[in-house]
This record gives sequence, structure tokens and C-alpha cells, in this order.
Amino acid sequence: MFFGAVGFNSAFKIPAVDSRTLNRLVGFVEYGQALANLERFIASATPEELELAEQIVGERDDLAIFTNVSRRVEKEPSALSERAEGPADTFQRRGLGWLMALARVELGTLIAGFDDHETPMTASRPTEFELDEYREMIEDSLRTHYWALRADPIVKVIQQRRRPTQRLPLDETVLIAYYRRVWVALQLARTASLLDASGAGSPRQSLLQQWQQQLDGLEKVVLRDLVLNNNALRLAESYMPRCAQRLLERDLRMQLDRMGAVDGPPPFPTN
Amino acid sequence: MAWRSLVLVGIMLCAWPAAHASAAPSAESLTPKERQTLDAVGTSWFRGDQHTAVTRLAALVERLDDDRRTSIDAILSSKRLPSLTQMLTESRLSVLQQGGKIPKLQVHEALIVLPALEQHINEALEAASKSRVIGDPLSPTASLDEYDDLLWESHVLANRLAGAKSIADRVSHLIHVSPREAERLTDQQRELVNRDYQALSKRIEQVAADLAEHETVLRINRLSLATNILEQPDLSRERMFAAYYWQVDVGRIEAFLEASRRRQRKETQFSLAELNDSHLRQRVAQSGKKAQHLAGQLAPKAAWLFDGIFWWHRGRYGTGTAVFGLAKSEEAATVPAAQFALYMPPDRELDPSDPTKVLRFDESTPRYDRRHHYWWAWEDRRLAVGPSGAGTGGTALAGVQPFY
Repeated sequence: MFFGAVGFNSAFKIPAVDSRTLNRLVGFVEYGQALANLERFIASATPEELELAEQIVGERDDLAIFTNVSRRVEKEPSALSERAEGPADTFQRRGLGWLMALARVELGTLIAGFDDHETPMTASRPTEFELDEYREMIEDSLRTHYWALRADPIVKVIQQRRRPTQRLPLDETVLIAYYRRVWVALQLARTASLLDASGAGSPRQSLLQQWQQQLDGLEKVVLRDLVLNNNALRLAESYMPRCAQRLLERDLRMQLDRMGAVDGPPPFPTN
Repeated sequence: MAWRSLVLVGIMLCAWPAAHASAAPSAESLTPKERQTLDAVGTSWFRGDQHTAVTRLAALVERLDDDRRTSIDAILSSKRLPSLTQMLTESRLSVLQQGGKIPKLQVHEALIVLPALEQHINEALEAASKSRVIGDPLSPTASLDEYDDLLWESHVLANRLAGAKSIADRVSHLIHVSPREAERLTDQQRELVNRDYQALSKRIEQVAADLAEHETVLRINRLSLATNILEQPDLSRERMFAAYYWQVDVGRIEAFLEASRRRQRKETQFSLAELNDSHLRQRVAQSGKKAQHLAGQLAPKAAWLFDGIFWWHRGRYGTGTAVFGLAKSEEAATVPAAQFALYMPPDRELDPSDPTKVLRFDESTPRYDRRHHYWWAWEDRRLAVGPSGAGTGGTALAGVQPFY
């Protein structure tokens, strides 16, 4: 395919130990380039040019985004639920800010899922321009993953009480996949917590803290199950560098070794 | 079409256990080897390994007579899965277009696949013959939007012709029919395997060259229009687009003329008179300089805006060749050129669907409302095969049903 004069912005760089798998995933290069270009535009555009750009983006149907996707899986409303902007709100949104927010969430979660970056969501920080949209999209993504995990019967299996040396009846590749899923959800929870401006002690903050703790506990349960599996580290190194790194953290290993049939974090709630 | 088959092959991954458990043994049942082959095909397809899919399918087809192939197709059809012909044709098409080493076309597979490949080539040629780019020049008062629509059409068509040429170039070298096998063919079948694909390739090349010439003329005219628009200094929608298009057009015209020069093509040999101008390159460069001066600081800003939207659109609507479109080829991990390759919808009039209202996964636009909802299970989509329905929504389908 020939892209003519479309620029490949060399300013786009994400630090990664092994970016090879990331390069395969649709969206990594694309959203990275999109953000590199759009950031430069919003940094340099005059208010009139910005307004014109918003008109151009707004008139294109293919650039529209739906938000509050999580309402399909939310079991019950909570302090974190998104509110409609009116009775006719279809949750369709348009605008440069929404484009950038979506790209940034997709990019951050890709890095979380396939790289060993310790704070993957910060690898592509939002600008002030799209901060509100980004916050909303992070929370929507968190709600989706959180409620989906709660409804997932595999999570119940992972959390089954067993003797410390008893292995799970799950393929180790399933465990790797679930580690990735939980890790991504955890990053979304941490980011949402950082961005929340409702104030310490607010219902939103309390719920975000609670979800973060639950996901943190679930992460450790999955890691414990991976530790019990001989091939897990090799697989983790191939498929999920972050997981492999976690398994090599000495303090964490000691904690995981102490986790048994009785000890351990409170179980992640399942439906 | 390839996308739908890919999905349905994914469905097959889970269908077998249930089917095997419930179906009484009969002549209609698949043999263990057949089931093993079809599962291997599905798995390799899912991983984007079309070469393995082709190799396994081709080997299977060579062992089957027409009656057995018809039986297997009936079984596949009863499960609403693509036929062997369709799977084989699509994987062959994909491999022929992507390049790389692929197995030879043995006689049985050739008789199945060649008609479909030829149809693919002829459809591309027919589309070119009906194209407005070649047949219907724009009026002198055409707007930037009208130019854009036509240039998009040209882009899609150029890609189709490139794919068709790739097939034509390679397929004749792949056909492997021994003289003894050829004797057993009917006249019609012999004609099929002896088709002159090199001549077909030449024809495609000529059509593609013609298309490229017409596209270049369109760009020359649009460059002129953009420059005129940029004479008006007030910011407007048209000025913003003009500030972008002149850059794209100068780049593309220059690339076309340079490619022609490298082919040592004398300029008088272009079929379109507008291109047979020894000063064309100079004129385009001068127009470009003028447009650049008139656009001023708006030029880089327009480039950032529209390039950004271009990449965003690819991230949103593009599909790769592996993992149900979520990933690109294995080559993309290390080869930068492979990272660009995506299937993109040819139609730009896309109307995104509300992901909370979509009932079937293959009805949604874009395919993935949020990619991070799906790629987490990279290692094993069989998560959804278990009776619990596991992490992909409580159904027995392997693949990309909503993950919640």
C-alpha cells in the first residue's frame, strides 16, 4: 500500500524492552502515529483552526465514538456509573478530544498487556485538551473489565480454594491470558483513581480503592497459580514480559509462597 | 468475504466437540484425520499462518474424490461453515497476495481454485473498466471533495489491481500438473490449467498503468485547484483541506514521474497528453512552492490534523491477518513494512454501530468497538470452547463474541 505524503512522525516513541509483539497488534502503530500527529496539531493550532478542525471531525460519521459501553455488563449502578446527558443521549460522541482519548486508552492498554512497562498508562499521557474525555473513557473501560471479570466463571475456577501444591485444572496459557486481563484492569483502576477529582473519601474514590484492592488480590491469586505451574515462567517470558517480571520479584514470591488454602487476599467478587 | 470465513473457521474450533459427541457414526461423519486437518487449518488460520492453512488444505483435497469432497462440504454447510473450496480459495488468495513460499497447485486443487482466482482477477479488471477515474473526467468546476472521492476510488482500485497482478504473476509458476494427469483432464479443464497467466499479468499491468496516469492527471488538476483556493487568505474549511492536499498531490505526482523515469520511460509515451510535457515536473514543483508559500503555517498544521485522522481511522477500522483481525502477520513483529499492512474497508461512508445494540459480532462497525476488550486472550481463544462459555460471553463460540 502506498501512503503518499502521509507523514510517519518520528517523535513517536514508547520505551519497551521488547516491542516486537506490540508491533503486530493492530492499533499500536496506528494510534501511536495518530496521537503524535494530533498532539502537534492541538499544540500549534489557533483557536479558530481548532474550532474548524472540530467541525471537520464532527461532520464525519466514521469518526464518531460510543461511550458508556460498560452499561451492557454493569450488574448494578454504582458511584462510578456514567450518567446520560439527557433522556435522548445515545452516548454517541464526536470531537478531537474523543479521538485522542480513545487512541490513548487503546495504546495504554496495549502496552499494559504486551510490554513490561511498570506504569503503562503513563507511556502516553493525556494532554489537558482531552483530559475530560480520557477520564471518562478510562472509567468506562475499567467498568467493562471489572464487571466482565465478575461475571466470568473462569475467575471462580481460578479462585477455588485448594491445597498450596494443588494445581488448577486450567491450561497454563489460560492463566497467562487471565493474568493479562487482570493486569490491564488493574492499570485502568490505578489510572482512574489518579484522575478522579471527586476528593478523598468520596463514594467514587472509595469505590475505586475497593476495586483496585480486589483486582490487586486477584492478580496475586493468578500469579500464585502460575508459580505452581512449571512452564509458567517460560510462557510468561514469551507472552507477557510483565508477568514474568512479577514472578521474579523476590518479595512477591515469598508472599505468594505463603498464600495457601486459607491465607490470601479476600476473593474477587463473582456474580 | 475472507473475514467472514475466518470467523466461521473460528466457530469450527468449538463446533467439533459438540458435533462429535452428538452425531451417530455414519458415512457423513468426518474421519479423525479429516477432523484433525480441519482443526489444524482453523488453528493456523487463526494465527495468521495462511501458508500452513493452504498446505494442509491442499494435501487434504488431493486425497479426496469429488463425492467425498461434496460430503465434507455438506457437513460443513450443515454447520454453516465455509466449504473446502471457499477456505482453500481464500487462503490461496491471501498467500498469493502476501507473497512468500507456498506449495504448488496440484491437479485437484488447481481445478478447484483456479476458477475462483481467475474470477478475482477478472472482477478487478472489470471494476477498472467501469471506474469513473478512467472513464468519466471531472468537470472543471469540481470541488475538492469530488476530487477526494475519485482519488479514493483510484486508491482502492490500484490495490485491487496490485493484488490481482500478484496472483497472476505467481499462479502460473505454481501449477503442477504432470503430462499423465493432463491427459486425464477434459478439454475445458486442460484449458483452465494451461491459461496464459503471464499475458493476464501484462494486461493487468497495462490497466494499472492507465489508472495511474489518470490518477496523476487528477492530482495535477487538484493541485491547481488547491493553489487557487489558497490564494484566499481567510481561514475556511476549503483552505484547510487545500493546505493538506497540495502536499499529498505534489508528493504523489513526483513519485509517479520518478517511477516512470526509473523505468526509462520516455515522456512522450504516456497515453494522456497532459503528461507528455517535458516541463511537467518543473511546473508541479513550481506549483508546490507557490502553494507552500500561500499556505504558510497552515500547511504543517493541516498535515498533522489529517495525517492524525488518517492513522486513527486505520487503528479504528483496520483488520490484520491474524487473531481474527486483531493482529498483523508474524513478519510485522520485526519488519517495518509489514506493520503497514491492514485490510481496510473500501467504503469510506462508515456508520459506526452502537456496540451495546449489536447482536452478531460480524455486524458491528468497526469490528472491535474497543480492541482491549478482546486481545487479552491472545494465547488461546479456546477459552470460549468450554461448556462454561468462559471469558467470551457465555457462548460456545471461539473467537470474538463480546468478551463479557
